[in-house]
Amino acid sequence: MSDLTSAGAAIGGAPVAGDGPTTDAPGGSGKERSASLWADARRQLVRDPVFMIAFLYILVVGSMAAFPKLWTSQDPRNCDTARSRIAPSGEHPFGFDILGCDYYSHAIYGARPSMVIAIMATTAIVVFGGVLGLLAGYYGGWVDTIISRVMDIFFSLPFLLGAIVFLTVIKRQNVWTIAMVLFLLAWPTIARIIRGSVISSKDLDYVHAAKAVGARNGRIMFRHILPNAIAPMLVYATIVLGSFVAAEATLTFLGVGLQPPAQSWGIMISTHQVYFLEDPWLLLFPCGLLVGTVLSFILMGDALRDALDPKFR
Amino acid sequence: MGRYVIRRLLQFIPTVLGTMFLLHYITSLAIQFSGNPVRALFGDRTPPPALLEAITERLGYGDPCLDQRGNPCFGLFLDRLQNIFFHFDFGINLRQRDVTDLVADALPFTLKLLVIAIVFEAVVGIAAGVLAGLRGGSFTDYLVKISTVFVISVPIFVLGVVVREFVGVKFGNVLRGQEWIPDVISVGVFAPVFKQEYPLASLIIPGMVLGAVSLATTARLTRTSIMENIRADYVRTARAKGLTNKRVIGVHTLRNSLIPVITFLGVDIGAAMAGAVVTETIFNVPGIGRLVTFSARTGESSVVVGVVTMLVLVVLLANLLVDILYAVLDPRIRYE
Amino acid sequence: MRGKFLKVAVVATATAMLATACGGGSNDDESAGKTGGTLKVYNAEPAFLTPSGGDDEPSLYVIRQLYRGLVKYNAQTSAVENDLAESVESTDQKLWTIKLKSGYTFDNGEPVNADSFIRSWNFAAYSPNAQNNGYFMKRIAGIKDVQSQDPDGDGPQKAPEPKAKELAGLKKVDDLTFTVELEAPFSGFPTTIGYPGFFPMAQACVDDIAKCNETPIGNGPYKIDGSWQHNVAINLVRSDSWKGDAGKPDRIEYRIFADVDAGYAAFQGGELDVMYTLPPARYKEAKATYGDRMFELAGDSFTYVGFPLYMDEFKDKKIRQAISLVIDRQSIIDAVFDGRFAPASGFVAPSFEGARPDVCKYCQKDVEKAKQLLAEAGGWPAGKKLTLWANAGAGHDQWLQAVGDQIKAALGIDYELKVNLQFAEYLETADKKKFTGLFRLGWGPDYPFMETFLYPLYGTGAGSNNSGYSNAEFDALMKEGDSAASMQAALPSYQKAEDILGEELPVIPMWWRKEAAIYSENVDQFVWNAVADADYGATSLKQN
Repeated sequence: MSDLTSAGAAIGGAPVAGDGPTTDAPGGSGKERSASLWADARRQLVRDPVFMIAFLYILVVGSMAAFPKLWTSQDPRNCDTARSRIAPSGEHPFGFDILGCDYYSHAIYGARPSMVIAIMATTAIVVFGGVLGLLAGYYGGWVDTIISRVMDIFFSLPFLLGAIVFLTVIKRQNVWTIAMVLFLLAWPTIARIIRGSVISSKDLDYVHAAKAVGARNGRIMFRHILPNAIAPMLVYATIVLGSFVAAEATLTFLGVGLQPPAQSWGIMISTHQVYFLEDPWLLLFPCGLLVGTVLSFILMGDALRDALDPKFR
Repeated sequence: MGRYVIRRLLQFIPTVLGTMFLLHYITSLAIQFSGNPVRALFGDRTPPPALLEAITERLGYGDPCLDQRGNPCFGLFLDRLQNIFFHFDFGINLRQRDVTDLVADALPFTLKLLVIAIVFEAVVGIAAGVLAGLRGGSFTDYLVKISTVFVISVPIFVLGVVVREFVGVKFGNVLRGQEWIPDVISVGVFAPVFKQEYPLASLIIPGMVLGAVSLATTARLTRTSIMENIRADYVRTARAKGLTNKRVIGVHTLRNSLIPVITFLGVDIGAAMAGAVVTETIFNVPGIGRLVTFSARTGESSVVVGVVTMLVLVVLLANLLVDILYAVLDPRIRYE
Repeated sequence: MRGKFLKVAVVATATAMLATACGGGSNDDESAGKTGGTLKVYNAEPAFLTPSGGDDEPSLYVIRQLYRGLVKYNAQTSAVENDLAESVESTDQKLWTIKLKSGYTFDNGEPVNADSFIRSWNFAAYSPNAQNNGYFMKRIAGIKDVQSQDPDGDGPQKAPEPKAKELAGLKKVDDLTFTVELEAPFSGFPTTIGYPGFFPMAQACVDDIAKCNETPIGNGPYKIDGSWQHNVAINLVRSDSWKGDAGKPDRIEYRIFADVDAGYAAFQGGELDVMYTLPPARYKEAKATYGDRMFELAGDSFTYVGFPLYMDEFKDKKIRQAISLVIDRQSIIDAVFDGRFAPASGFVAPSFEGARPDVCKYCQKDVEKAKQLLAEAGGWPAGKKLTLWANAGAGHDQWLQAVGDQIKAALGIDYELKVNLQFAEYLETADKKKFTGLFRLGWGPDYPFMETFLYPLYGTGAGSNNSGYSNAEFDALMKEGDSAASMQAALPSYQKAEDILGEELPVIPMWWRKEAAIYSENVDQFVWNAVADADYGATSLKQN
């Protein structure tokens, strides 16, 4: 899962740990210009076929997660070992899994945990990492030192190893705990991105001007500095959503992820990967859905970055 | 310059201690909440309490603070620090072997694997990134983009198993059936899993699988960096001076563009080590990753923590060196 | 940590053997296979290579070639035969006299005599030595004195030194004779001492046990070449000091794998000669590919689903019978295990002497009868979910889910799985009797004697009685069998005890594992010992 940390590096600029300034924070743009930046970006994205396809795919998967009943009327828990591993047919497009449960409805219901974990963890890192990055970058000094050291501590745990260690301890492996572990291990990256872009924009003239007219720190941070950091954060968050969907599957493979009888794509893949020579569809269906989702998130992130970074115009 | 290095070194100490304490606390919690791992050694048989006690004592799980849920066990932590820094002792496993021995046995394999992985991702990743970056928006660009992103999206364990079965077993068996192919290729490189007789050749494919994950990032980073630099003023100046295109790209653009890529590769060693957890298990490489997976599965938290602590120390040291190197290379940083 | 830990026993009937070694007994081995060559075999990383320490399958596979003990098991009939022992005799089943053959030595030149055995058994039993096989010395008189009890359970005080250093029950008579006194009569004693925990150890080995673990000093047909290359390989070569029947291959190389799927890939790539086990999901494929080179044998590893009899819901035996009646074992085996297991209808492995079919009257699917029994028992509390327990990460959740589905479909009792405890915590939950519903556990025999499947699991207060079952009549019958005049004479009492279980169902018998091994085209004759499993020393290679 090196992509988790490295994806951030690819976007945030300098990937180096420690105090290296992030180099490619978007240029200082005032409020008016940023409004037009967003409008430009939207126009460019709508015209980008890759982005639109990826976006539609995510909408489809999102609706599976939110309203599985729209997609299937079968109960995925209605199983009978007599139907074990029956190949796909018209009525059961994905066939049956080894316990004889309908695989299609399984796949539909499996979207929810994967998506919920990814969305919860991403929201958490954006809020928490964002705030800490903002504080560290804005105040500097001791605040920065302490926050940076804590970031270093979490950053030094390689992602998979850290997740194994945390999850073997927590035991209760459900959607909440997995989201929490993903959050714990991934927040420093986003904090670092924000911190870098805050540092590079806090010395800008309009910030000094705001200070000079007596604006409070909170106002300066949220009204004047944060908007600059939103673009790289949004890009990173989109990509990280994809990595989290993949991470859920990998953790399940390593035996520390979700546990049956919960349904998730990760469980479907790791349970059935051993059968892929005999009954490849058991692996291909969930894997295809998963890869499509991850791919879509990453491509969306890419398109977003291209659209939001004026240098690429 | 000197001050920056000293400051950076001073920051290093609390980070190391903090990380080690985090790991220590996690394992203490693991034992407090999930019970004595020694019990699992006996499986379905219930061992006599005296025997269980004796083995527990010998493994150092006998400390009373491990019975109190939530207790951070500071005493034990200090003991552990002492052992690590004064005796270089990272504990023992359930089979009573030193973790340092285990790591020493496993390290050469992992190092070889990492070198192959990094070389692979650097060479292929940079080449793909340069191609894509120079012709932004072209077919090559899209091809590189889609293929690298595709590799990221496939979970590495699926990729590894598929490669093992199709390349190592199916394709390898075809090769092994051909007389004219030298053994080092058919039996070595295309061995389904790691092979003692060909310690380097049989690691090539696992190394490539491991490198494939970061390959995408390397390529994307190179692409971004090239695209930025190609528009930079100094490149325009070089062109204006009338230098050949080859020289402009080869010397001016590429060299500057590679700085972030190379730093990324340095930092990526830590991530690649984590990736080795999966790759080594699938290809039976007797390295550190397989050691950690195996210990995690059998609940040998002492080994997991010992090994992870060592790895973290290595990662932190690497980060420190990269930072100092960065400061040497980039004057803006040290005057920050 | 999956599967069983002990591999000591089976009494396979001749028909159950898909025997590879042709002809009659084991004495015509000389003519059966040629000697020479290097045999490359699959193995997992052993825990220990000392007789006193190694108690897991991978360790035993190596130890059995490095060391030899008092008795061995016949490859086909699994009858106990003397190996290093001249005789093992007793008149009262309590005091046993063991006479040794002379002329055997360890690889370092030390003689194998009465002292080597007494030394080894004492070393294993003395609790400060912390040897896993100390468990097996539990029947020898004086065991309590060499194992110290912690004064305050799990607490802060260290366990004191044990009262004695040596087992009071072991006495040397002369160089080649010693006596063993047991705590209580046990007619099956001779079957137990073929287990590697009872193999001898050299003085030099006990003096530096850590070194002996890395570079074993054995007394068997093979000795180690170099030392144990942890996680990579263990190489054995023929030992010159061995006086008994020589091993077939000149060299045995154990390749160590952490993952059975990786091992199977290596076998497919032609890098291994023998794999003693298969990845469960590859069984069908392996059978299709290697058909005539696959060896199968009804196994003796028992999987059961236990009832927590300490819970009120399960006190009525009709409830237990009803639940057992709705499980279609064969269909679960077919779906989840590729049909590899044999459904259980009793509590003793079918291959054991004294085992009978259909001891359990409630182990064939009969939904009508189950509903009736459930109604007679007053039904299941409405709305209460049945909890099913298994340890995490060992693939048990699949079949347990199928069991739950069948109970839900037949009796309308909804279920939930509790499958997130690692094995250590799971076993602790079992020891402390804290399960809140049905729990899966397994059992492997300690020795080829019916008793091993009965008392340890269902005797009142016995070590692995996780259901908390207690029945005075059962206990009395077991005692009667233990003090019977011979192993044969003990069987009827044990069978009566098993009948009680068949009616009371303290646990639901699920299935017996089937052993499946595959070997390569290089192998001439593959030998599987019904008790000790794959016998690499007796397996011969094709010679060109």
